[in-house]
Amino acid sequence: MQFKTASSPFLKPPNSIQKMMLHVLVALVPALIAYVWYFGFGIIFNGLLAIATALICEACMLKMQKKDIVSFLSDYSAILTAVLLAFALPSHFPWYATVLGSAFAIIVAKHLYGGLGYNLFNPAMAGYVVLLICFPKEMTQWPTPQHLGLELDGLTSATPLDIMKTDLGGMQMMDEILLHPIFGSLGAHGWEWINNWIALGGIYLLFMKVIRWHIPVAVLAGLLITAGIFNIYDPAHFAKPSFHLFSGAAMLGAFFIATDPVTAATSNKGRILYGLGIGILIYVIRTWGGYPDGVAFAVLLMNMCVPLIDYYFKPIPYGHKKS
Amino acid sequence: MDVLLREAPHRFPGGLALPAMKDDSTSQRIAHPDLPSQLILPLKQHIGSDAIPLVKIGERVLKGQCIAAKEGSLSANIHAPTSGTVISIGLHPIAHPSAHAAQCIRIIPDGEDQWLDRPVTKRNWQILTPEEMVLIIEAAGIVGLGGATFPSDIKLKGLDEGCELKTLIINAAECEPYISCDDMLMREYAEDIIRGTQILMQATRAQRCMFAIEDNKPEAIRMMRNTLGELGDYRIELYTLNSVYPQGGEKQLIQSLTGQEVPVGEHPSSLGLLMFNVATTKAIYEAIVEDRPLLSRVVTVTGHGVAKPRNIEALLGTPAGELIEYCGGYTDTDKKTGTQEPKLIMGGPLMGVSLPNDSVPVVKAMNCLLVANKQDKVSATKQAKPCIRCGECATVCPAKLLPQQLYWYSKAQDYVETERFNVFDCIECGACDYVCPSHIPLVNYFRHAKGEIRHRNEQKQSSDIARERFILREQRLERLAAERKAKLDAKKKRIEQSKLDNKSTSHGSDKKDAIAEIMQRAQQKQSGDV
Repeated sequence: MQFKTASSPFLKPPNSIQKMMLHVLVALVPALIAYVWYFGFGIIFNGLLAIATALICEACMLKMQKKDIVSFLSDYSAILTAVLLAFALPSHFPWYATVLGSAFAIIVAKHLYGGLGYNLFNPAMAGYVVLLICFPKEMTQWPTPQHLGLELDGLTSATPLDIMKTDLGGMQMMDEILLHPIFGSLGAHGWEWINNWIALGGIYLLFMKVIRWHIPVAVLAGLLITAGIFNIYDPAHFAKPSFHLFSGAAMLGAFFIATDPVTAATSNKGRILYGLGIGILIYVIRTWGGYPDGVAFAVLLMNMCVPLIDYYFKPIPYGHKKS
Repeated sequence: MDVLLREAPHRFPGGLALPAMKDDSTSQRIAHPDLPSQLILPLKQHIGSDAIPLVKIGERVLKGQCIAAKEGSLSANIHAPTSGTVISIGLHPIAHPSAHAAQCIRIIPDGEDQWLDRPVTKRNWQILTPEEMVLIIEAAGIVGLGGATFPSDIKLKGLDEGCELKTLIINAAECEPYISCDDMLMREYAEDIIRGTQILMQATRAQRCMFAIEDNKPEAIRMMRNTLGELGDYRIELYTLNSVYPQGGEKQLIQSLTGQEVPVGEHPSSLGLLMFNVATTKAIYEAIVEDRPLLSRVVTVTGHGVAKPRNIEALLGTPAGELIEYCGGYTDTDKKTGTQEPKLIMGGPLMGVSLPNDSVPVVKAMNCLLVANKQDKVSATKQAKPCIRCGECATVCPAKLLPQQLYWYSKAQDYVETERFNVFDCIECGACDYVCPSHIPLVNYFRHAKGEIRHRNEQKQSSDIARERFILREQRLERLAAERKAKLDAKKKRIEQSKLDNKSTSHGSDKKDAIAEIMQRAQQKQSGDV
């Protein structure tokens, strides 16, 4: 009897990019529910718009590169980029801006660098930063969190990080700032819950071995330690570490954005350095930089350092140790 | 005496926990089928040069007769597995990834299974010297039966006089899924294996032995433990290993048992260690005690493509198809689909060799015949996606390499960097392939890179030699030209000198004399020197 031949190994790999992306999307579901609860359905609208834009842009770019459209679209990486971008945008964001952000992320940040696996910068963060620079006013118009039983005026209000930054700039002391009704026990109302659910999603991903612990732990450690040092030094002018950990996009950044394998460092030691760098930069930008939240910029800055990190952090192969 | 069961004290980095898939083939005892219709014995079933046939076509051979002798320093003998007639010595397809044909001796058994003359009583091995043992092992054509087929006598000879062997390691890990031949050997021949271990300890003058079995083989462990208890040899220590692939790799097993790494470019003997597979150990026992050369081996015939998987003690040279027939043949679905889906693999699903048809013979390296179909999840992968730099490959690599970097550089055909990233330390275990979410055929890239680098090194070497020869030639020619020039100069000088001399002594008519003298000399030269 005749047989078809092939080269070893013969076992079909059980994992695939599609499965990894699906796990990440599933991990975001709890956070999505919390988001909708506190901030309304805007995120779903933004999300769908971003996904549609992303898929169309990716299909066009793949066609131009003469690659197989179906197999690349079906690995869900474009969908994930769009969803992460939607998480970073306020619910009331104008639709044309969402489309622009998503298109930029896919076309420029991903495909102009070579497509899946070749991009230097995290596409979702690149798209977010472009929107931040082009639509600064709209990006700060976050809706007021609902269902909190708080007396808050207005349809939109500043985010907790925004409030923190403005008030610190206005030379107020931490105790006075924290009297603002938005601030809760850990971070701020609404926000801390979203961050909790995101952290839960992140733990789910760790469990499913889609991500490894090095980057999230390093990011949070970098942020925690830096914030802790400054808070101990001058508690009146520097926010508590717990505030930093549970506000803004810290958890999203630690578990979902910094862990993007394509743009992160590859060796475990390198990843710890990468994560620490992101954590420290998040704190620096939040405290002294021009923007209330520093996750996006921190990630992009460390993306630039990744080739250097990879060059210097290589394991010693078997038998090469000089005993 | 209750034998202590120890756990391997260390771990090797990376590795995969794979489903064992050994239940199907271990439910029955090892089978001993009748003689096959023909025996095809390749002249090369070992590392090294082909053996040279000692028999002619038409000659009748007896069981155990040496039919091909080892040639050169790295080679092994081939013996007739049963009595019969040699019908051809020529090309036949062999079990090799390229599916090419090689020189084989074909024998038709005569059914009598008549042995060569050999002593009736068992040999008392305890009085043999190590050198005598090595000679017997060499004559018996024993090679590593774990799959590497390195001639065992040369492994033993490789121990220099000054090199002190501290520990003998018996590798009974059998880490690859589906393969269970070593497991069954331990269950049924535990005493022979232990005697073989003792023989090897005597042959190597080792004081200690570590016998290592993976913990997914509880019956084998129990059997070895009980038998060791009965025979009572305190020097043989029984270890259980984590069932992680590739635990049975030589380097990985040494790391698990001793925590040491074999330095690159050296052998385990530099650490005072020597490792033998458990099946090889049993074969050595048979050769030394029963004067039985290597004539057969246990083969696991398994996979969802075969009706009744089991382990078979097959004569070397049995056509693979006959073994599968003995196991109930191919399952119906494969017969219906014909050739497309199932694969016939010699070895395991990660490091095995895919065979083109089932007429290839059983050889010393064949530990398993895996007829794998869809249910065994060996379907061909679709187009590989780009690398997403997830790093899982580096996480599982047991040699602590960076498969990702190796992939990028070999894809870019930058072989200098590929070599710098130690591609030659890759043991081609396939763990990185298994975890890659982009389904990139990593091992194939590395194999290709290794071949390319070797080829380039060879080319570089021959061009280096050519360049040296050219330079030497140029130098030689220069030297000859210089010599010639020097001679010419000297001659000119002489002539001038004599001219001067003549000038100083006389003028005018002396000129005519001088000319006459010169002409005389020239004539002399012409007549004399020619």
